[in-house]
Amino acid sequence: MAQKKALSVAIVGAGMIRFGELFDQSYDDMMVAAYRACLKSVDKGIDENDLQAAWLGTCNGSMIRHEIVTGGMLAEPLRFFPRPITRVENACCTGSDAIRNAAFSIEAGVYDTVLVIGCEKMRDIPSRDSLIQQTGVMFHQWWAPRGATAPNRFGQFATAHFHAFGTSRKHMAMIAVKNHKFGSMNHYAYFRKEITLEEALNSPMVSWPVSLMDCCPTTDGAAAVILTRADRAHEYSNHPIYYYGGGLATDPLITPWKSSFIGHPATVAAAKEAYQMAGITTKDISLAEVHDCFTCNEMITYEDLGFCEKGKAGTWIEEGGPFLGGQLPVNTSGGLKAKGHPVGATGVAQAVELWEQFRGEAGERQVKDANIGITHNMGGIGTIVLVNVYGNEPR
Amino acid sequence: MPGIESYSVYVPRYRLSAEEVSKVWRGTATGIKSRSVTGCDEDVITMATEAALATLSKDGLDAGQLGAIFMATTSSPYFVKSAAAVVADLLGAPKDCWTVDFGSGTQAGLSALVMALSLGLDRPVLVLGADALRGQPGDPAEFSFGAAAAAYVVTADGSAGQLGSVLPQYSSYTSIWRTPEQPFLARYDDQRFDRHAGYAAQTERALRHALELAGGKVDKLAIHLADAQQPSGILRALKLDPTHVTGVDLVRSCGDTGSANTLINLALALDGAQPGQRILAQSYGSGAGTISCVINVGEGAARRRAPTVLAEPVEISYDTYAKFVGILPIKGLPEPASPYVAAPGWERAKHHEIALHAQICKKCGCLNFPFRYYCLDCRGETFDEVPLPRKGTILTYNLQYVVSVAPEEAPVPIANVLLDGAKSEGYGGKVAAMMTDCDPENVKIGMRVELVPRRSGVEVGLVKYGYKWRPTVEDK
Repeated sequence: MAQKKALSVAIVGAGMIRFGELFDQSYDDMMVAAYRACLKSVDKGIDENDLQAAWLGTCNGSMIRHEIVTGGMLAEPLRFFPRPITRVENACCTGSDAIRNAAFSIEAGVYDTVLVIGCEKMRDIPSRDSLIQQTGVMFHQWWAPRGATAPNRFGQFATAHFHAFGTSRKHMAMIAVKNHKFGSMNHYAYFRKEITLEEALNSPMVSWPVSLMDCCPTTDGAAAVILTRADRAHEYSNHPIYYYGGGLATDPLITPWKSSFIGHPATVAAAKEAYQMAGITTKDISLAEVHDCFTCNEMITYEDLGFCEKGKAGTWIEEGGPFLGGQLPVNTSGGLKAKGHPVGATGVAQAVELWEQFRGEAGERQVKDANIGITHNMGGIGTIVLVNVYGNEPR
Repeated sequence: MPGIESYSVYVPRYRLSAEEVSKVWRGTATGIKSRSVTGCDEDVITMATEAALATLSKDGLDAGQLGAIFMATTSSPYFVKSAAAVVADLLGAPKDCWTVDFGSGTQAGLSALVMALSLGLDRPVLVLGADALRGQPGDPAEFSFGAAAAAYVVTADGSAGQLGSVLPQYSSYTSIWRTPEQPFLARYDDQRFDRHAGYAAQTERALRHALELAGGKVDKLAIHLADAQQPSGILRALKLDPTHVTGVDLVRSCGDTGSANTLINLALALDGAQPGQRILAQSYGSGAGTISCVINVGEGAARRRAPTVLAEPVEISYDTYAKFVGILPIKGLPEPASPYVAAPGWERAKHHEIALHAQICKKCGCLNFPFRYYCLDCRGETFDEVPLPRKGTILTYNLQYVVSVAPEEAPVPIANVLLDGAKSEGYGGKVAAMMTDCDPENVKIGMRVELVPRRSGVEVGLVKYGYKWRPTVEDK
């Protein structure tokens, strides 16, 4: 459990590029574009030399690009050298963990103002050869390198949840429809078209009960934020947002080594730490960006984050809980499902969504009086979970 | 005196009927209604291992005690690389286990048994006869060849059966053969000459001389059955009672199972035999000749039989058979960056993940598998090693439609299973694997399943072996 109460860190700039299969953009092209969008978002402008250090969240660089991945991958395109850069990788928590660690440096008084970039190039290889194909959580000698893929491992949780609580593919499909609707309202989302419940239910099966429409796409993208001390935020921004800190928790990697197939203990533990650090309960949360790598994971996450009781996600969805105007809108950005999931960029992009929401810049997907928001990421299969908490006011 | 201590038989579940074959090709094999077919994840190594596991579990004989493994087959995945050594890995045989490969002719199964019974080694000898014979598509032999395995344990004082007189009769006469480049058995098509010089003539001559050597009378005949009709002519000529011949029904439904053929029929003979009775066992191999011997039934015959592992037969179509045995080539998969079969990873994993050993935490009793240093539940550091329980109950599963394995076809069920005896709370006690030999529609949470050794892919040209979950099978 973290020992500190809420951090005194602000975000004064946040920008990203539209995610997608960006065949025409290189890793560097994407990073520079996101960085410049971030600079533009600083209301009062920022001298780039104020950025004293950077954190780069990139997950698969060396597995897909077959290169060594270091801070150099930020230093070079942005001509950021000779300043310090730390490269962060923590599976799907990468972007959020880059923000978390960058914030620690400010809280510790080592730096005042720092840059965080999340960047991922996944579509330079066929999509099936990247994330969907990656295995490792069954016993290597029987499986690897084939067999146990992400849709399979997440799908098993859905099977168990259906069996225990009577939820069904219909609930998963409702989440897909919701997130595509949000995506259609988000200029940064890959998928801008709505889908129907029938389309979602009848989409080709990938790993029953997970169908194609239940899976997030394999995409490229980049996002960037600038963090500074809370007491310096107004030097840069008319309406900064604040990062209070987060909770990070772990659980075993190999799927049979799980204590439950109906929920993720790491999400529960990470949320507990995050809520405690920020001094909030779920009642205080205006909106949440959660890890819908597969729609069934979003469904189970509602329960683990405490938005509803364990086993009640189906009812909560049917009652409109996660929809706009509902009790706690979830994934107004379109989520990983409609927006995309370039792994290292996702956590940072979720922060960009909260930035737009808190500043009233979210257009048709605006949550009324958005005040406190959380982001949730899950690496592996509930193996590493990070819940970050942001708000409109300093703590 | 060395003797047979226990024995068991394994037959794969799939059956290709003669009727199904005749939809594709004209003609049938005499008397064979169907033939058994290995699933896409089976071969002689996995079948022999399944038979061995069944026979070793009887009387609680530990693979760690084996002094030798004699494996006879004419359809090993390899010409150079010991099949017996892979079986030894899967069983967890000791390092000084003497692994010997017999082959080149289907009489090798009985030869290996006679060898083990003659040697008189101190420690138990596991004798395996297994074949998955593949005839040229369209050749009548294609649908008379079958697949199966038999396993015998021979000990210094085995009480089910002991060796009597032995009569080898070699012959290089060849009607069926295979060279290294050929994927299928070739057949010299001159049936009248074959009757004159081959199986029928050699079997009759061998039985005649073996009976003389044995002093005239035997109670049962466990002979190599190439098809269901041939023995009747031979039996008439020798004035032998057809009801004494075992295995005729099996050959009608499974076909000629090669190196397993006589060993299976001997097992069936031992099953119903009384102490003091005599069984004449005889086997034939094209290009090799015959071997015959008398087995004197001992006190332990009826008690020593291990369950014959026979699943409920499932009829398959010709195209499914063609995919299973490689007639229809499956699209290849990209080579992995580092293969597990010829790499340090495989060697390190053998004891735990191939020979299936687990750890029980001394502090909290949690079952940890595979190997780890810190207990999953309590972080304890001391363990008792145990054989991994091989049966369990499905906790959750899903059906892989987008499958990146071969030659398995989608959907492939994958199950997370709670092992029998393991605590249901906590992190440990569970194993996940693909399922095999089951209809994806039938998979349910709560289903009873057992781990069986199967092929789990080919990497850089080498077969990788692992385990899958199969719905538990009743004795047959």
